[in-house]
Amino acid sequence: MSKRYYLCDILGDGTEENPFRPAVADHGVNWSGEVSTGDDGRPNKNFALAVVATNNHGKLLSDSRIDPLPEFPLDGKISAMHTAAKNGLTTAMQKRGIPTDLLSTSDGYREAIRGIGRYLNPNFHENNFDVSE
Amino acid sequence: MAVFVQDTFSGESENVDLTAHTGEVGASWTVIFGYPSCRLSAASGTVYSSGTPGNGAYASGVPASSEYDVEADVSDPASTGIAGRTSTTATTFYHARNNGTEWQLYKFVSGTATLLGSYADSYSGTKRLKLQIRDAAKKVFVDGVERISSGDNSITDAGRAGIRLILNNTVPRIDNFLATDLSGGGSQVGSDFAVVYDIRAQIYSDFAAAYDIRQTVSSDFQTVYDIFTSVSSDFEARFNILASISSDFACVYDIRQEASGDFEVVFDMHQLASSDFVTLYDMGGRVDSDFEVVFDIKTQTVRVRRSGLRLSLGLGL
Repeated sequence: MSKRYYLCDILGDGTEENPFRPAVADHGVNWSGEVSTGDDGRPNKNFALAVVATNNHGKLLSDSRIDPLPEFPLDGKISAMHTAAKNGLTTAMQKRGIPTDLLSTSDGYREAIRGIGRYLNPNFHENNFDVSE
Repeated sequence: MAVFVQDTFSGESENVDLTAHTGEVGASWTVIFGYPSCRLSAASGTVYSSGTPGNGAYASGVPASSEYDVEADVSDPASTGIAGRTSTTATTFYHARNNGTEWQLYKFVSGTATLLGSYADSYSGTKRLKLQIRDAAKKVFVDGVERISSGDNSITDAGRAGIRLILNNTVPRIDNFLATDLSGGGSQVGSDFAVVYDIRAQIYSDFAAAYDIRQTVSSDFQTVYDIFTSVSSDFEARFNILASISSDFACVYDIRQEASGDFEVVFDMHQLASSDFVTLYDMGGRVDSDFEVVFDIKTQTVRVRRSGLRLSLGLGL
């Protein structure tokens, strides 16, 4: 089982039967999601950051509502990523309207994930964002 | 840790409404805004649904701050859970439960539901479910194992601790409710604090020591683990240091035989260490699995070797 970060659409209407949730939630995987909401409890962004633990990331990769972030060590340097993975990260962020300047101000993948999380929640910290394998 | 709610749900007649019951500590119950109440089973001393789905209630006990733990025994059939930061005026709370196939962490804000995380597990029997509420993280533990962690903090008021039963089912499902906050835990240790583990026989199972330090350590703090024989399973020592350390802090691990499982030491430091902080691992034996030492230092150290952190590893392989 491995963990991977994703950006994904938010599904649901906020009822108990159909709660707001990241799209990864509908794939039967273990996950934790960062969903930014307003004072009324409704999402104020149209996407969520999710960390997923599963043996099969393939079913997520084939869902157009879900954009995978690079499968790369959290403590690795972005400059050490393959170009395709780096471009994928940039594209996924741009698709969701996340400023990509944080990729140029820091070289760490951890800082990139933290920056994405803090775009949704100013108090986000990757160490408090996890799910059991 | 101080208990501000405790209820074993015992000593009542059959089918008593939960709001007519008073538990052991801070446990007069009020229905969560907009929800029907729950009822008690006299035979088993547990809580069950009252006949309408979506029951919920919060206890009268007031936590010392917005950071506290809520826990209870929950039994199948599922869709039973616990709540924290429960508003007394709105359908607003964090909620941990199992829906029959997975453990879930929810937030409800003015009745709007958002699922924050899930962990697949269709359990049977009874599980101990804990919702740990801190500003930095909301964590769900099942039988002591962390399953979900979320950084969401959109509900900030301390609120109350509560319970919630989703399905209409008269099978008893919640028992031994407990809520504890971070107050109390004893007073300051004004002199030296020393713990020596002089273990000369084999430890056949897990070895765990937890130091939950919430007050200032103003004198020396020393722990020595002098383990002469093997630990057959995991070895874990955890230091949750929430207050400052103004004097020396020393930990010595003198392990002369093998540790067959994981070896983990965690220093979760939230405050200042203004004097020496020394850990020594003098291991004569081997560790057959993971060896992990984590220093999670959340605030400034006055001086770390003047110019930086020095890590020395001497591995006699």
